[in-house]
Amino acid sequence: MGLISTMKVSASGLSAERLRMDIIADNLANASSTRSATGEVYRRKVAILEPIPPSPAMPGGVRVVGIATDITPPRMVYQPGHPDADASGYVTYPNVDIVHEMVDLITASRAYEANLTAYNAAKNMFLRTLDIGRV
Amino acid sequence: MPASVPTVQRIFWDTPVLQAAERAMDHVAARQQLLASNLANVNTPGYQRLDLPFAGVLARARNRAVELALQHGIPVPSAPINPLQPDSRVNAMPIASPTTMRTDGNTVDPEYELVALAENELRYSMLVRIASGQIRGLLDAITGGRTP
Repeated sequence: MGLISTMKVSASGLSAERLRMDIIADNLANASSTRSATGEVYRRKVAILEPIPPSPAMPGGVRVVGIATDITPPRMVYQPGHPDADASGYVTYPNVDIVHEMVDLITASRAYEANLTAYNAAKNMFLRTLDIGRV
Repeated sequence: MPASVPTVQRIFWDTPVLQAAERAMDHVAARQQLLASNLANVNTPGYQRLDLPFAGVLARARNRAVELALQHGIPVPSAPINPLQPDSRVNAMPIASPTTMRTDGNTVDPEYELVALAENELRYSMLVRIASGQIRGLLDAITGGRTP
Protein backbone atom coordinates (compact mmCIF):
# COMPACT_ATOMS: atom_id res chain seq x y z
CA MET A 1 0.00 0.00 0.00
CA GLY A 2 2.13 2.82 -1.35
CA LEU A 3 0.15 5.84 -0.24
CA ILE A 4 -0.72 4.43 3.20
CA SER A 5 2.97 4.03 3.98
CA THR A 6 3.56 7.56 2.68
CA MET A 7 1.14 8.73 5.36
CA LYS A 8 3.13 6.71 7.94
CA VAL A 9 6.30 8.50 6.84
CA SER A 10 4.62 11.87 7.42
CA ALA A 11 3.32 10.62 10.78
CA SER A 12 6.90 9.83 11.85
CA GLY A 13 7.86 13.41 10.97
CA LEU A 14 4.88 14.82 12.87
CA SER A 15 5.65 12.85 16.03
CA ALA A 16 9.38 13.69 15.89
CA GLU A 17 8.64 17.42 15.56
CA ARG A 18 6.05 17.26 18.34
CA LEU A 19 8.59 15.58 20.61
CA ARG A 20 11.06 18.38 19.79
CA MET A 21 8.41 20.91 20.77
CA ASP A 22 7.80 19.01 24.05
CA ILE A 23 11.53 19.16 24.83
CA ILE A 24 11.75 22.86 23.96
CA ALA A 25 8.75 23.53 26.21
CA ASP A 26 10.52 21.64 29.02
CA ASN A 27 13.70 23.68 28.47
CA LEU A 28 11.75 26.95 28.52
CA ALA A 29 9.76 25.94 31.59
CA ASN A 30 12.99 25.17 33.46
CA ALA A 31 14.98 28.17 32.23
CA SER A 32 15.05 29.63 35.76
CA SER A 33 15.12 26.45 37.88
CA THR A 34 17.99 26.69 40.36
CA ARG A 35 17.59 23.36 42.11
CA SER A 36 16.26 19.86 41.38
CA ALA A 37 15.58 16.54 43.11
CA THR A 38 19.06 15.25 42.19
CA GLY A 39 20.82 18.34 43.49
CA GLU A 40 22.25 19.10 40.02
CA VAL A 41 20.91 22.14 38.21
CA TYR A 42 18.66 21.47 35.16
CA ARG A 43 20.52 21.01 31.87
CA ARG A 44 19.13 21.85 28.45
CA LYS A 45 17.86 18.77 26.58
CA VAL A 46 18.09 18.10 22.84
CA ALA A 47 16.40 15.44 20.70
CA ILE A 48 18.69 13.41 18.42
CA LEU A 49 16.96 12.64 15.10
CA GLU A 50 17.97 10.02 12.56
CA PRO A 51 16.46 8.88 9.22
CA ILE A 52 14.71 5.48 9.32
CA PRO A 53 16.47 3.12 6.87
CA PRO A 54 13.92 2.17 4.16
CA SER A 55 12.30 -1.27 4.57
CA PRO A 56 9.16 -2.86 3.05
CA ALA A 57 7.20 -2.03 6.21
CA MET A 58 8.45 1.56 6.52
CA PRO A 59 9.77 3.26 3.37
CA GLY A 60 11.65 6.02 5.16
CA GLY A 61 10.82 8.69 7.69
CA VAL A 62 12.53 9.96 10.82
CA ARG A 63 12.92 8.69 14.37
CA VAL A 64 14.18 10.06 17.64
CA VAL A 65 17.16 7.95 18.75
CA GLY A 66 17.54 9.65 22.10
CA ILE A 67 17.30 12.75 24.20
CA ALA A 68 20.75 14.10 25.12
CA THR A 69 21.74 16.81 27.57
CA ASP A 70 23.59 19.89 26.41
CA ILE A 71 27.11 19.83 27.91
CA THR A 72 27.74 23.60 27.78
CA PRO A 73 28.46 25.01 31.28
CA PRO A 74 25.56 26.47 33.28
CA ARG A 75 24.98 30.22 33.53
CA MET A 76 26.46 31.81 36.67
CA VAL A 77 24.54 34.88 37.84
CA TYR A 78 25.69 37.08 40.73
CA GLN A 79 22.73 37.16 43.15
CA PRO A 80 24.08 37.14 46.71
CA GLY A 81 20.59 37.36 48.26
CA HIS A 82 19.31 34.23 46.48
CA PRO A 83 18.81 31.19 48.77
CA ASP A 84 20.67 29.00 46.23
CA ALA A 85 23.70 31.31 45.92
CA ASP A 86 27.12 29.72 46.55
CA ALA A 87 29.78 31.05 48.94
CA SER A 88 30.91 33.75 46.48
CA GLY A 89 27.32 34.93 45.79
CA TYR A 90 26.78 33.24 42.41
CA VAL A 91 23.62 31.31 41.54
CA THR A 92 23.87 28.42 39.02
CA TYR A 93 21.17 28.75 36.36
CA PRO A 94 20.44 26.15 33.62
CA ASN A 95 22.32 26.50 30.30
CA VAL A 96 19.04 27.38 28.57
CA ASP A 97 19.13 30.33 26.15
CA ILE A 98 15.55 31.58 25.69
CA VAL A 99 16.24 33.10 22.24
CA HIS A 100 17.85 29.88 21.04
CA GLU A 101 14.87 27.85 22.26
CA MET A 102 12.37 30.19 20.56
CA VAL A 103 14.18 29.84 17.23
CA ASP A 104 14.19 26.04 17.60
CA LEU A 105 10.49 26.19 18.48
CA ILE A 106 9.71 28.04 15.24
CA THR A 107 11.68 25.55 13.11
CA ALA A 108 9.92 22.63 14.83
CA SER A 109 6.51 24.22 14.34
CA ARG A 110 7.16 24.99 10.64
CA ALA A 111 8.49 21.47 10.04
CA TYR A 112 5.33 20.11 11.71
CA GLU A 113 3.19 22.12 9.27
CA ALA A 114 5.25 20.88 6.31
CA ASN A 115 4.73 17.27 7.39
CA LEU A 116 1.02 17.92 7.78
CA THR A 117 0.91 19.27 4.21
CA ALA A 118 2.67 16.14 2.94
CA TYR A 119 0.20 14.00 4.89
CA ASN A 120 -2.80 15.81 3.39
CA ALA A 121 -1.34 15.51 -0.12
CA ALA A 122 -0.97 11.72 0.28
CA LYS A 123 -4.50 11.50 1.69
CA ASN A 124 -5.94 13.49 -1.23
CA MET A 125 -4.07 11.28 -3.70
CA PHE A 126 -5.50 8.20 -2.02
CA LEU A 127 -9.03 9.64 -2.18
CA ARG A 128 -8.46 10.58 -5.82
CA THR A 129 -7.60 6.91 -6.53
CA LEU A 130 -11.05 5.90 -5.30
CA ASP A 131 -12.53 8.06 -8.06
CA ILE A 132 -10.98 5.95 -10.85
CA GLY A 133 -13.83 4.38 -12.78
CA ARG A 134 -16.48 6.48 -11.09
CA VAL A 135 -18.46 7.84 -14.03
CA MET B 1 -3.84 -18.90 -25.17
CA PRO B 2 -2.02 -17.36 -28.14
CA ALA B 3 -1.29 -13.67 -27.87
CA SER B 4 -3.24 -12.85 -31.04
CA VAL B 5 -6.60 -13.89 -29.56
CA PRO B 6 -8.34 -10.78 -28.23
CA THR B 7 -9.52 -11.65 -24.74
CA VAL B 8 -11.84 -9.47 -22.66
CA GLN B 9 -8.83 -8.71 -20.47
CA ARG B 10 -6.80 -7.48 -23.44
CA ILE B 11 -9.56 -5.43 -25.04
CA PHE B 12 -10.74 -3.68 -21.88
CA TRP B 13 -7.82 -3.44 -19.47
CA ASP B 14 -4.51 -4.02 -21.23
CA THR B 15 -4.81 -0.87 -23.30
CA PRO B 16 -1.58 1.14 -23.70
CA VAL B 17 -3.15 4.19 -22.07
CA LEU B 18 -4.33 2.37 -18.93
CA GLN B 19 -1.04 0.51 -18.60
CA ALA B 20 0.98 3.68 -19.02
CA ALA B 21 -1.26 5.56 -16.54
CA GLU B 22 -0.89 2.73 -14.04
CA ARG B 23 2.89 2.74 -14.30
CA ALA B 24 3.07 6.51 -14.10
CA MET B 25 0.83 6.46 -10.99
CA ASP B 26 3.21 3.93 -9.38
CA HIS B 27 6.08 6.28 -10.10
CA VAL B 28 4.26 9.32 -8.71
CA ALA B 29 3.23 7.41 -5.55
CA ALA B 30 6.84 6.26 -5.04
CA ARG B 31 8.06 9.83 -5.44
CA GLN B 32 5.44 11.03 -2.95
CA GLN B 33 6.93 8.62 -0.42
CA LEU B 34 10.42 10.06 -0.91
CA LEU B 35 9.19 13.67 -0.67
CA ALA B 36 7.33 12.84 2.57
CA SER B 37 10.50 11.23 3.93
CA ASN B 38 12.54 14.30 2.97
CA LEU B 39 10.12 16.56 4.83
CA ALA B 40 10.14 14.24 7.86
CA ASN B 41 13.94 14.64 7.96
CA VAL B 42 14.01 18.41 7.45
CA ASN B 43 15.65 18.82 10.90
CA THR B 44 17.99 15.81 10.78
CA PRO B 45 21.59 17.07 10.44
CA GLY B 46 23.51 15.55 7.53
CA TYR B 47 20.42 14.03 5.86
CA GLN B 48 20.73 13.72 2.07
CA ARG B 49 17.40 14.25 0.28
CA LEU B 50 16.22 11.49 -2.08
CA ASP B 51 14.24 11.92 -5.28
CA LEU B 52 13.03 10.08 -8.36
CA PRO B 53 13.76 12.22 -11.42
CA PHE B 54 10.72 11.96 -13.71
CA ALA B 55 12.50 13.41 -16.74
CA GLY B 56 15.33 10.91 -16.29
CA VAL B 57 12.89 8.01 -16.14
CA LEU B 58 11.17 9.25 -19.28
CA ALA B 59 14.43 9.67 -21.17
CA ARG B 60 15.57 6.21 -20.16
CA ALA B 61 12.34 4.66 -21.44
CA ARG B 62 12.62 6.57 -24.70
CA ASN B 63 16.27 5.61 -25.22
CA ARG B 64 15.41 1.98 -24.61
CA ALA B 65 12.56 2.14 -27.14
CA VAL B 66 14.77 3.80 -29.75
CA GLU B 67 17.51 1.24 -29.12
CA LEU B 68 15.05 -1.65 -29.62
CA ALA B 69 13.64 -0.07 -32.77
CA LEU B 70 17.12 0.37 -34.28
CA GLN B 71 18.00 -3.25 -33.43
CA HIS B 72 15.01 -4.45 -35.41
CA GLY B 73 15.53 -2.08 -38.30
CA ILE B 74 12.36 -0.10 -37.55
CA PRO B 75 12.52 3.56 -38.59
CA VAL B 76 12.53 5.79 -35.50
CA PRO B 77 9.98 8.60 -35.56
CA SER B 78 11.11 12.01 -34.41
CA ALA B 79 8.37 12.16 -31.74
CA PRO B 80 8.68 9.92 -28.65
CA ILE B 81 7.38 6.42 -29.37
CA ASN B 82 5.43 6.12 -26.14
CA PRO B 83 5.80 9.26 -24.08
CA LEU B 84 3.97 7.83 -21.05
CA GLN B 85 6.17 4.92 -20.13
CA PRO B 86 8.08 5.77 -16.98
CA ASP B 87 9.67 2.87 -15.10
CA SER B 88 8.70 2.89 -11.42
CA ARG B 89 11.65 0.62 -10.58
CA VAL B 90 14.18 3.35 -11.25
CA ASN B 91 16.07 3.75 -7.99
CA ALA B 92 15.79 6.70 -5.69
CA MET B 93 18.96 8.75 -5.72
CA PRO B 94 20.31 11.58 -3.58
CA ILE B 95 19.61 14.84 -5.41
CA ALA B 96 20.28 17.99 -3.40
CA SER B 97 17.64 20.67 -3.89
CA PRO B 98 19.13 23.45 -6.05
CA THR B 99 18.19 26.13 -3.53
CA THR B 100 19.61 24.62 -0.34
CA MET B 101 22.03 26.81 1.67
CA ARG B 102 22.49 25.00 4.96
CA THR B 103 25.46 24.53 7.21
CA ASP B 104 24.34 21.29 8.92
CA GLY B 105 24.94 19.09 5.85
CA ASN B 106 21.19 18.57 5.30
CA THR B 107 20.20 19.02 1.63
CA VAL B 108 16.44 19.47 2.20
CA ASP B 109 14.84 22.82 1.40
CA PRO B 110 11.26 22.72 2.76
CA GLU B 111 9.88 25.19 0.18
CA TYR B 112 11.35 23.22 -2.72
CA GLU B 113 9.97 20.05 -1.20
CA LEU B 114 6.46 21.50 -0.81
CA VAL B 115 6.42 22.71 -4.42
CA ALA B 116 7.54 19.25 -5.62
CA LEU B 117 4.81 17.75 -3.43
CA ALA B 118 2.12 19.95 -4.99
CA GLU B 119 3.41 19.20 -8.48
CA ASN B 120 3.36 15.48 -7.72
CA GLU B 121 -0.20 15.66 -6.41
CA LEU B 122 -1.37 17.47 -9.57
CA ARG B 123 0.40 14.94 -11.74
CA TYR B 124 -1.43 12.18 -9.89
CA SER B 125 -4.81 13.89 -10.38
CA MET B 126 -4.05 14.17 -14.08
CA LEU B 127 -3.25 10.46 -14.32
CA VAL B 128 -6.44 9.53 -12.45
CA ARG B 129 -8.37 11.67 -14.92
CA ILE B 130 -6.69 9.92 -17.86
CA ALA B 131 -7.53 6.48 -16.44
CA SER B 132 -11.11 7.54 -15.66
CA GLY B 133 -11.52 8.96 -19.17
CA GLN B 134 -10.42 5.66 -20.63
CA ILE B 135 -12.95 3.74 -18.52
CA ARG B 136 -15.66 6.27 -19.34
CA GLY B 137 -14.91 5.69 -23.03
CA LEU B 138 -15.40 1.96 -22.55
CA LEU B 139 -18.68 2.57 -20.77
CA ASP B 140 -19.86 4.83 -23.60
CA ALA B 141 -19.00 2.08 -26.08
CA ILE B 142 -20.93 -0.49 -24.03
CA THR B 143 -24.02 1.61 -23.60
CA GLY B 144 -23.88 3.14 -27.09
CA GLY B 145 -23.44 6.64 -25.70
CA ARG B 146 -26.64 6.56 -23.63
CA THR B 147 -26.31 7.25 -19.94
CA PRO B 148 -26.76 3.96 -18.10
